Amino acid sequence: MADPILSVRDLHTHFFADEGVVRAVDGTSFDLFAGQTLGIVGESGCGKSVTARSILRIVDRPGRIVSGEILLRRADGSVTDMVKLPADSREARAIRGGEIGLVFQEPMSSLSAFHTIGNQLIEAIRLHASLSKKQARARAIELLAMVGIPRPEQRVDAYSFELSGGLRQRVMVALALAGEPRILIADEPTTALDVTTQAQILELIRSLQRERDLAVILITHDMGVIAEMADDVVVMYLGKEVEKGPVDAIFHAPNHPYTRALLRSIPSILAEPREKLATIAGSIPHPFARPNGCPFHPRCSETLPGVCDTQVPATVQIGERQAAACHLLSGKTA
Amino acid sequence: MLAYLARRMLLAAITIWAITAVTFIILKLPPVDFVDAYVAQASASGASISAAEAEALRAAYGLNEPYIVQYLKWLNLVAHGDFGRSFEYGRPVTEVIGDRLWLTVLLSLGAITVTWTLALPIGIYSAVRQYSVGDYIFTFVGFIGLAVPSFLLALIVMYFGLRFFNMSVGGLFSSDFALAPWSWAKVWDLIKHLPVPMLILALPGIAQLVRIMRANLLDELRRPYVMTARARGLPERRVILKYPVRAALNPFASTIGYLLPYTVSGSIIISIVLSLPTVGPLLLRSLISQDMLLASTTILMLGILTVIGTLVSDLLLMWIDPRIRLGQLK
Repeated sequence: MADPILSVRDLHTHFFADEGVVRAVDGTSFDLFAGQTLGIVGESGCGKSVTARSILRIVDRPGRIVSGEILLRRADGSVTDMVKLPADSREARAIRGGEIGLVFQEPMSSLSAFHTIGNQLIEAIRLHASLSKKQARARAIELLAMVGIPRPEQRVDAYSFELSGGLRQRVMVALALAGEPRILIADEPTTALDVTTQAQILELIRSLQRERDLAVILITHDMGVIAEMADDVVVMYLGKEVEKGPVDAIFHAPNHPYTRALLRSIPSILAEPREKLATIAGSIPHPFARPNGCPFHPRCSETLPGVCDTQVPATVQIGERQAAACHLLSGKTA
Repeated sequence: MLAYLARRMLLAAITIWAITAVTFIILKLPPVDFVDAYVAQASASGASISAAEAEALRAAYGLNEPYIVQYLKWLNLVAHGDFGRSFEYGRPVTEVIGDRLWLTVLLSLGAITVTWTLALPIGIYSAVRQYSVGDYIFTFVGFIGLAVPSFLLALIVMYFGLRFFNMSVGGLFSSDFALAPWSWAKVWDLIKHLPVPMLILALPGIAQLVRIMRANLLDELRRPYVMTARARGLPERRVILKYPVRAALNPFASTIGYLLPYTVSGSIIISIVLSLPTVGPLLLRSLISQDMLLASTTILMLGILTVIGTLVSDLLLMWIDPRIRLGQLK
């Protein structure tokens, strides 16, 4: 297999609040390859979005990358560690948008209502390429056409509030691609959209990926989206990566109890009428009250008393490309 | 957009009409009508007004007729620019108010400019660097600015100005120019006198606007569009100035209309302390002495200026906010 275009190594991003430290991302590692889609899945608050923002170095204060490496393989073959770049440096800004594009989950509020779509697109285009205003405008119209917006010559002068949610998300995709990035991070790109529009946006991302050999990181809480889109999957819980592997392995041979619980909670078309949907017991702990040992143990149906609540499980390699962090796998017993 | 404009214009016209009605009511409020007051005051000061002259005044204002006729007669006179005579000053009201109105507008606009040029950058700084040492310092100074009555500030500034810089901070003109006709020398004298009163008038507004700007911007900075702008690779300064600051400016534009009356009625005490020849002290004095034609004209002028200010802020909002321009927000 080729070298990964992006490698995240043991990333820790913590938020330093007055009440204590929130370990939003607490040891995540994964590789991303050109033309492939990596799915990051987990419940709200598990650190998916912070992972995405860490990669771009746009974590809001009081958040900070504490340790780890974010290794980006540049077009010329050199490797840049994003963690070492000052967040507002010229190089970090060139990578943001130029190498890595980001699509957010809320198309309603992710565009400025005070500027036309064209204004924001042209700005992004000219940041990463030396084009005249006129050329950039032509490019903006091209981009809008590429993401499937009808009548792009007119829409380029529209304001975001004049467009539907689906069109806005298409504009967001166009904006993310304005700097010709090789990596696209889509952070819950379909959460705020209705089901038909969701499918269209996912299809758009997939076709763009094929055309441009994009590496895509798809962040979602929807296992259905993962099954449809991802090549590899990272399952996160409370900032930790609990299991990762190829999508088939994750769905057909899940090793971590949390992965299994997530899969059980997918509504099935084969379910009996009025059958209750399986849920994961309990709720995500308060960020300041992280459980000791394995973070999932209070909600886990297979907890080993005396082990899971005291020791942090090590990551166990299963086969060539699958790994999970669970005491059950390392052969420990109560 | 045209409908919005037309509606604003119509509302402004209706408001001005309502202001004339209220002004007329104020004119009629004292138990003694203004002609009797005029006669009484004239005889008290030794001058005398003939019965015929008083009768002519009564006829002009229709004082023996029903209120509605009185109102229409008064409105007709006012519409033709005849605001009557100030009985206290013994001169036409327009002459008494005269320069004071323009000096007031000048001073207000100056104070507003100072307020904005200082408050906006400080507010932006305080929000972007929330909880930094600088933010705490500005917050501390700001709260003092809000808490200290500005007339006290005016007194302190006057004291220090005189004591250490040997400058007189009172008034808008040196004594040589106060009564002189307008000339370039007088304008220059005015320009030299403007900064201190402008700053003192501006200070409470600065303190307030810094707080508003800080709060607005803190709200806007959390919005996703800021994050997306950053994710596109924009430099941080441009991210902040182009997007959230633009959004945080909206409430500013909508308050312009109130700034004008504030600098008049909210600053009477400052104007008295600094002996500024503005409309504020004139209004206070005319109300005390029941010089009703002067008082009501002043109120009318202030009302109309407020309406104009509000109209300007509406137009400004339309200019800076496409949602209003395109009729998305009512």
